[in-house]
Amino acid sequence: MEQTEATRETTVKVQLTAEPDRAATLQVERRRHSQVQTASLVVLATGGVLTMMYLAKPVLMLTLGSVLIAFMLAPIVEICMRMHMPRSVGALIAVLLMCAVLYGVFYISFNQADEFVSELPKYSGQIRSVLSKVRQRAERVRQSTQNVLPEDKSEKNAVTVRQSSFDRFTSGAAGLTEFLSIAGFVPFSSC
Amino acid sequence: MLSWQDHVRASTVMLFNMENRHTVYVTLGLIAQMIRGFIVGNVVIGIILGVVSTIAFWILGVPYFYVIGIISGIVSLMPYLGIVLAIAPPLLVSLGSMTLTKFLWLVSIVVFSHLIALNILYPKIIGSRLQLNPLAVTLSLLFWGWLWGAMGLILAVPLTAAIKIIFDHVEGLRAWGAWLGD
Repeated sequence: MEQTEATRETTVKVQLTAEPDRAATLQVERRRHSQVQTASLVVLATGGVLTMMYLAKPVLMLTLGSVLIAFMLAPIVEICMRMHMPRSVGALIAVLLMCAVLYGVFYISFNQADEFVSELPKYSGQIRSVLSKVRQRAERVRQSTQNVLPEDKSEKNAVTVRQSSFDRFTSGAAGLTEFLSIAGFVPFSSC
Repeated sequence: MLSWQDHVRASTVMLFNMENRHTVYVTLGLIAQMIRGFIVGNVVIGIILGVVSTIAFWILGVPYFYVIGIISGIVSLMPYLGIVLAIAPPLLVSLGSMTLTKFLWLVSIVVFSHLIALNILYPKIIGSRLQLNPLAVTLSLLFWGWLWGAMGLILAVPLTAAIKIIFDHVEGLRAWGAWLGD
């Protein structure tokens, strides 16, 4: 009888000491759970924002572009307002001024571009002649190197198709020239 | 946008709680100041580069030097591709009609002015107003360029600078702001 009571007491004592441990473990687990939850929410939110920004690209770019232009034109509006003009009139004057400046720039650029396009065959001919000259020189260098270097006997009977490094360069240069010419004339094509 | 600028700013401030309105007002003011500085700085550097390129091309005898010079000076401001795009137009119009010495002069002038602009003028005129570190600028260019393409490259720097200003004024995000800062 005494023994059972002693056992009960020890069980209660163990339970009492185990209770705070379990509470602390629960608290740690809850904290970890909320941390995981927050992290996943951040990841989901970032993904959502990125997707929205990608999908709403035209709208956002238009808005941000207009904000930039508005800040560019703001000093003109402020000058107009100092001259006791309403803000809307100032904005109209600023936009008209910007259009006039853009028209002037595009008009000059267009004339130049038109002149340049008419002379483009001459320039492409010049570019082609320069490239062919360089190619011929490289070919000569290749041939002289081939004459100096001894030929490998194992390759005597093999049929090989050789492309000189300069061939590769010039074939790559065609693509590069094309890219540069397109990139260089982006401002012209925009008008 | 232009005629309703003040209204937009005031109503945006009103969207927030009373206790945060002052911070929002200050943040918006700083963003506006930064954008203005960015635009003015870019225009100034673009004009300087355009004038320098035009004079150099005129001396070297590049055809259409005034249009090519201005285009070369402006595109030189573009990050990464700027140097290639700045060399391309004068190179194309003068290829075949130029001696090797003049050609080398042309390339060196464009490269030199580009380096001076991006390493001295850009940090001096714009960098101090943006307060972004070079790594943050590079990463932002990569990110916005990937997301929005060419337009993203143009908007990358002011967008990141605006994000940095917002981070600096939000209690929990100050560390991120410091990471982006110089």
